[in-house]
Amino acid sequence: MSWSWLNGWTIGTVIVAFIVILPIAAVIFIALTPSDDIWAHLASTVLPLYIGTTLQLMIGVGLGTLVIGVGTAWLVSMCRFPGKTLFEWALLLPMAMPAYVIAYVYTDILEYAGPVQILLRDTFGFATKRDYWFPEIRSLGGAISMMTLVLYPYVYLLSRAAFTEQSISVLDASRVLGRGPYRTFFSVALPLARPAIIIGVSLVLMETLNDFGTVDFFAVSTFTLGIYDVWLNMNNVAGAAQLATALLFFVVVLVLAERFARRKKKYHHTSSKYDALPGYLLTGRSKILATVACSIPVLFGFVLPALVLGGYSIIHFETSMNSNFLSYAFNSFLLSSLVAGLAIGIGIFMAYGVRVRNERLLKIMVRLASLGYAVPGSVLAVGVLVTLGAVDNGIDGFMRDTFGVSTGLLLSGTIVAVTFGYLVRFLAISFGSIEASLAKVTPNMDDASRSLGHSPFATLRRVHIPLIRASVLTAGMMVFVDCMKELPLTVILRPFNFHTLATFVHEYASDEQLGEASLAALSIVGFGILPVIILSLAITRSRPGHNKDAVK
Amino acid sequence: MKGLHIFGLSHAYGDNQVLDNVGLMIPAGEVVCLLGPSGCGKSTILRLSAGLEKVQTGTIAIDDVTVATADLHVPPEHRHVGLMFQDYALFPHLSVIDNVTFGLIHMPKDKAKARAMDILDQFGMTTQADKYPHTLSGGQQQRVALARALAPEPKLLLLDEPFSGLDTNLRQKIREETLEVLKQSGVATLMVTHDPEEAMFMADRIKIIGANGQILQAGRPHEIYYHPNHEFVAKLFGMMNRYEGTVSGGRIETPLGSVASTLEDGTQAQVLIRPEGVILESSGTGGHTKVEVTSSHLLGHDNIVRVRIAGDHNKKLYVRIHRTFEVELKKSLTARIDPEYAFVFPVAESPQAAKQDIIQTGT
Amino acid sequence: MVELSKTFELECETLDKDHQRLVEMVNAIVALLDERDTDNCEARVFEFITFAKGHFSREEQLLAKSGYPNVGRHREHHKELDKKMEHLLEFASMVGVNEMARESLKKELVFFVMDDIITTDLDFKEFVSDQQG
Repeated sequence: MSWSWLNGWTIGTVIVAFIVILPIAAVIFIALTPSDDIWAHLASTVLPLYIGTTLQLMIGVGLGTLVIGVGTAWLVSMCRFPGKTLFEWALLLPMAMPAYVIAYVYTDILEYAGPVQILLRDTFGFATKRDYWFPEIRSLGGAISMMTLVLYPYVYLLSRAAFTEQSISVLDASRVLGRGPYRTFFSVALPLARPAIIIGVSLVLMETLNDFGTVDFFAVSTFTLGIYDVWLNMNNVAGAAQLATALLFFVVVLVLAERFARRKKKYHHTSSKYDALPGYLLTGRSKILATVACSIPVLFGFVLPALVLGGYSIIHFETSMNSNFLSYAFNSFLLSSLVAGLAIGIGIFMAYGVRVRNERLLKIMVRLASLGYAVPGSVLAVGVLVTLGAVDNGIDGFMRDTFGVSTGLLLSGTIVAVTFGYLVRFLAISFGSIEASLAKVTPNMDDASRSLGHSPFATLRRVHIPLIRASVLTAGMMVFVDCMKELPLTVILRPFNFHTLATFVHEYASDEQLGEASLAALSIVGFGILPVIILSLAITRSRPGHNKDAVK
Repeated sequence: MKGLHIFGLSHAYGDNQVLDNVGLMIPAGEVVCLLGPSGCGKSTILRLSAGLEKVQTGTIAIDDVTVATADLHVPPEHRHVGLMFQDYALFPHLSVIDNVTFGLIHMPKDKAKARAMDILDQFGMTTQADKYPHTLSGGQQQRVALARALAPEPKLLLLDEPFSGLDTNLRQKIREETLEVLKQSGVATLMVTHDPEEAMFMADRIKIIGANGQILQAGRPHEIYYHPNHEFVAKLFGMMNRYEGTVSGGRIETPLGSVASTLEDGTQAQVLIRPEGVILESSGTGGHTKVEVTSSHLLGHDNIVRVRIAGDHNKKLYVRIHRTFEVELKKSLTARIDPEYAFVFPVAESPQAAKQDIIQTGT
Repeated sequence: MVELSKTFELECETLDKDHQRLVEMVNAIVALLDERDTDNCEARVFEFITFAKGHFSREEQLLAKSGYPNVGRHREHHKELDKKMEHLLEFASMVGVNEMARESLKKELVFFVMDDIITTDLDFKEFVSDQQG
């Protein structure tokens, strides 16, 4: 057996990947070692409820985002109607809005004591609840609506990319064969875009499983809520781990679906010279319908909540500033920057590790380390706690045996825990982005540089860094923003008395004090707009007919 | 000796022996082309010469300095070798002039710029100096890539299929241009290609590498084409007509006539005839074989005519004619062999040679 | 003008001396051709070829005596060079009247002596080195 593949890079990358995989492995390990026989107990009590509710939620959100995402994507890429260029990027705006924030806002507006119902009662002269029917926002249906509104952009983005990639000749052929826009959509465009749509919906469902704030607020009994319940209220790690494992089954299915669709996507790619898509010109009623159809998600998913939050922020400005808003903002900022920096560093390290040694084992480990995005925050939190707990106990035991000193809990409950959790979850973003841009630096470019008198280090400096700089910064920014928005992990892993903007918003909103936390919520949304800007720029650049960067 | 000297070079990737005892020398100013099927070790020789891979067995010397053996490895950045790739590998973040000055590290900036502009002038690219690679056409990118490699005045130039990315129409023009620049620069050049016509055009000497990594033949283009020493070499230039037979009395019989052979009497042999070696004549002058035309394809400069021997519906011959030939206006046709274009080889017995039997490159 | 540097040495006195002589002859011919001195070119090339053939048989004997395993293959190689040598003579006969013949002959002589003969002979360097024939 040749050991030539063992060198610094490989070992380092394997170690890093291993550390990142640990929490997930820990969850599975714990779950497989039954204790307190909690499975039976769970099965007979809450398991069916969790499964049922989670499934309903997933189906609801899946369908909702599918219809809105694919529908608007088609309209925007294939048809011409007033406001189309605006909607192209505006439809992305709800991405900036975390689900829990929008949930808090709408609850505030639509609940019994909120302005809408008050107006309704005043207008129609209703006195009490029994006099009229109004949908209860704090319900499964409400949760589905909220998540649909903020998650459809994933499906929109990917479907739109798929539609615009489709060779114009395919669609022309369809029209020549007598199919109008409607039938072309269903029989040609949609099937071709299917892999991209599947990827989009898988990502949406992963985020759905991940959500904590909304389901907590609305008391929707999903797995995630169950895990929090068992952990925070019953203090049962094993139980939480077992629920987490059950949740992982769903995740595995989603990941497999996504990977399968990604592979299929390669075959469906019709890349050839393409001209600007002419687009069907919509007239009369269709024109208006299209504009309305695109406005609704933007209005309800972003504009309205943003305005409400803006209003509250202004009203409660003094109180907001006097509270600990600034220190929480500082916490968020610090934590997010730290994790972004680490994610970039590790991402670069792993990307080079895979580039330098093209070993299969290495690639597998790196793929596993990139799975964090699919693992729901609740599961990850349990895994991190278990892992760090084991480490702490190990060190403690060692110290006691060797030096007679008890070190107690060193890592658990510290900022290390939450940093670790964030890192595992968001590493995929940085690694994926950096790896993709590093791949554009071809081996031939490396060879050319070296034959032109540059050492490997000089090549790094003069060729690699300039070429990956942009994606490294983008990756860092995306990780930063995701950390700012993150709630599920933070709730469990944060050190005592440490609040981020997100947990602050969650706590106050749960106590019906959204007003005071509105500035914080608005800040989170503000940061969330940054990725939207980047993505919309990318959309503009990739518009058909626009000069693409093509280097041989 | 100024130039490249390689001998005893063998190389294997795992179980795959891609080079088997290869040797060659290139004096300064000469162009040597390595010709062979894909997958054989041609590109490996380039990479070893450049220092991008370590030598397993053999010796490489540049300008009389040994740069690589099994125990010695001078890294690429110290060998002063110019490299040009099939995909050009231009740095996308640098303009044309910055790409070309990339290798001029020890030169003061203004001198480097002057030198770069000088070279770009030879390629007629001075007006593109500030453009970026992705805005250039394939031909322009190729020129920049070559300029970049030549700017530091390397001791050796290595070209890896430099023209395969170009449109056919453009290719000939660029080949001529490139050859002129190479000759002017006086640098020893090693070029790898799978296109026989390209090798013939560019090379002062051609080395044919077989599928097993051995050098099968080395010589001038004329020699390779008209005196192939191996059926593999003969078949490199396109479809061949083939007949089998036994050598007897120093000759071997084919339906189109007999061909001389120096092989021993009794040897099982094959006659390979180039398409342009089958001469078609209108009024059969006594004794020549009658043939019928089954199809004719005018390519412009050549006419490819498929014929079969009257009565034999199984075998079709390839005939290539350089003059005007309107099938419709011909009466009875006969065919004979021009011995200049016919080669006799023993019939393949070993699977190794049989494998080469199957490999055909070129049109 | 080519030089026999160290990388071309077989470290066998007889063979190296032969090679040295061959290179000297080629250099002489090339030098004259450069000066456009084309009389006697054919004769000089013939002299060169004769010496080469002599070298071949000396070499083959030496290899056979030393038990070099691939003698047969090397003999084949020498036989293949016969045709080349004929061609060299043909070119030599034309150098007086044909410019291209002059150019090609110079090139072919260099490649012939350095690539076809000496570099290929390096195959058995390890075998013959220190074996003062």
